[in-house]
Amino acid sequence: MRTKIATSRQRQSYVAILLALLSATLLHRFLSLQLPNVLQDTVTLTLGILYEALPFVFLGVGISIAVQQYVSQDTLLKLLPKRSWLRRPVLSVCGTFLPVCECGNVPLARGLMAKGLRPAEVMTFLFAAPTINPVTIYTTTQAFPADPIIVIVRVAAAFIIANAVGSLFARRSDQSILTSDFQNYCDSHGSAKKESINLHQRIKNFTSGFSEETLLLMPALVGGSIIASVIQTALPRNILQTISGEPVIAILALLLLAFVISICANVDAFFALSLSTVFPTSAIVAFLVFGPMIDIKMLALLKTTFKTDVLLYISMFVLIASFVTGLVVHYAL
Amino acid sequence: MRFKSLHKLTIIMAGCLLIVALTGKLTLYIHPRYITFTTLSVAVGFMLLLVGLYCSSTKQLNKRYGSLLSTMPLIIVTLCAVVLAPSSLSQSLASSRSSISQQNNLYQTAHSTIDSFSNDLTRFSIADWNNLLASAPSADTIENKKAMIEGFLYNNDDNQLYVARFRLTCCAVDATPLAIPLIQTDTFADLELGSWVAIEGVFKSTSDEQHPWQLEVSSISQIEEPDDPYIF
Repeated sequence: MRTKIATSRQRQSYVAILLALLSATLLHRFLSLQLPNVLQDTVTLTLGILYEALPFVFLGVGISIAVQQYVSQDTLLKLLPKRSWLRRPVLSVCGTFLPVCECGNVPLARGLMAKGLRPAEVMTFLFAAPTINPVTIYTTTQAFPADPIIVIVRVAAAFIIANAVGSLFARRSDQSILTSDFQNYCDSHGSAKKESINLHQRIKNFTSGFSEETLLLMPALVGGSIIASVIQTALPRNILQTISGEPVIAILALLLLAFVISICANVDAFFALSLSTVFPTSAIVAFLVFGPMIDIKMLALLKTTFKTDVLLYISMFVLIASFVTGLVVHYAL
Repeated sequence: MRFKSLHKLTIIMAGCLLIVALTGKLTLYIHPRYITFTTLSVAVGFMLLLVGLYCSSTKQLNKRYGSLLSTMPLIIVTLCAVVLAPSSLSQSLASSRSSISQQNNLYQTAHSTIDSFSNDLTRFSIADWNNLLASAPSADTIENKKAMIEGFLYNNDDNQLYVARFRLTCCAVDATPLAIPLIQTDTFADLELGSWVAIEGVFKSTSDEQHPWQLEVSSISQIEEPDDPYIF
């Protein structure tokens, strides 16, 4: 009886989904409804961020669930150095093999922590991987072929800052860093199933895990996208140009833009290039260092895993470090 | 909100993305280089979520996930994705991003499709002219040169009129207007800001320090917004 009710309710869910998608198709095709300009722009920007981020979130969640379910903790730890202080820099360059946008790195980082890696170690991966990967390095080189110093400083700063963040939290307990919800998640999902299971059970475990992890991240991703879009439609970007002349103010202005715009690290170099005739190189470098690590969308996603005070601390540290990087470029290079 | 409702909303959101992709409108939101990867990845995710809904136990489906307030953004955005048709960015956004766009020459130098300024200039697009103007051209390079371009009309805070198109590097959030300043005449009186137009004209020198070269329009006609309104 219970099974029949469950099956009936699932059927209702599928019908509801089908009706919603059919409605979308018909409404888009025949009614072409739109809001007044500013509201419509906000919706377009929000959906732009979402549609750009969603495939990377799915990819990151897929890899994360695969690691959680099919890679044993022993295997994972064997691949990495035994000492934590060595493990952190190794993890920070693992983005070389996983060129996923920062949105995809968050579920992957969650999966690694569920597998037993310490938060401090995974933080180095989380904050370095968006920059230290072949796609980002290639696009930055393409955007600034005459300024190799931008590429070098970007990669070096990402490595140093990510490892510094990891070192800062190396001695803190997991309970003081992670949200209680995520700790419970780790406790229930940590070990790979040692008993042999058939293909049907494997599919069931994988899809259930995929669904659960995606749904944990979706509200945060959508919330972050909305906030970023609202700020961008409310704050005219040409205000930034009025403060681009003074180097220190220019660096701060582009740090703020990097935080708000929430653009993917793989292509932010081309966007930065469009600003390079208005802003000095120091500000451009600060933008390229800070943006992949901390922005509105990323913070919203990280809030599913790390405590608020931890995120505030990390954000301030990365902000100051990026600012200092910009100053070093301005005065020393 | 229950896991089941959140699950359905997420599947609908992914489904809306696939609908937009299949109707060829995804380039209104993201750069074409991402289309194939996005479509495939979201299609796989969509299928996994559908199967996940089937495989989830009753207990899991009825579990509560966050408060209604925390999930309200997802409800609103999913509703917008279902009800509202995909659309390009408006002239209001172009106005707020106007000043920076006038300096966008380096990107075009790296990625423009033109070979040299001695080519047939009637084939120049807005991006090509924007590139040329930003490079502070000499009079013999640009004066009285004929331009035939299509774009939408907008003005900035100083009431300078432009014809423009948005350029995207990643997604709609980084859109920057590439604009050509126009010498304002009564020709534009009947046209609304945001209208798409096909313009013919020649470049004339002006006393405006910010826009020393502006397009004097000889012919203008209103057109439908093209299916590909952005420059990539």
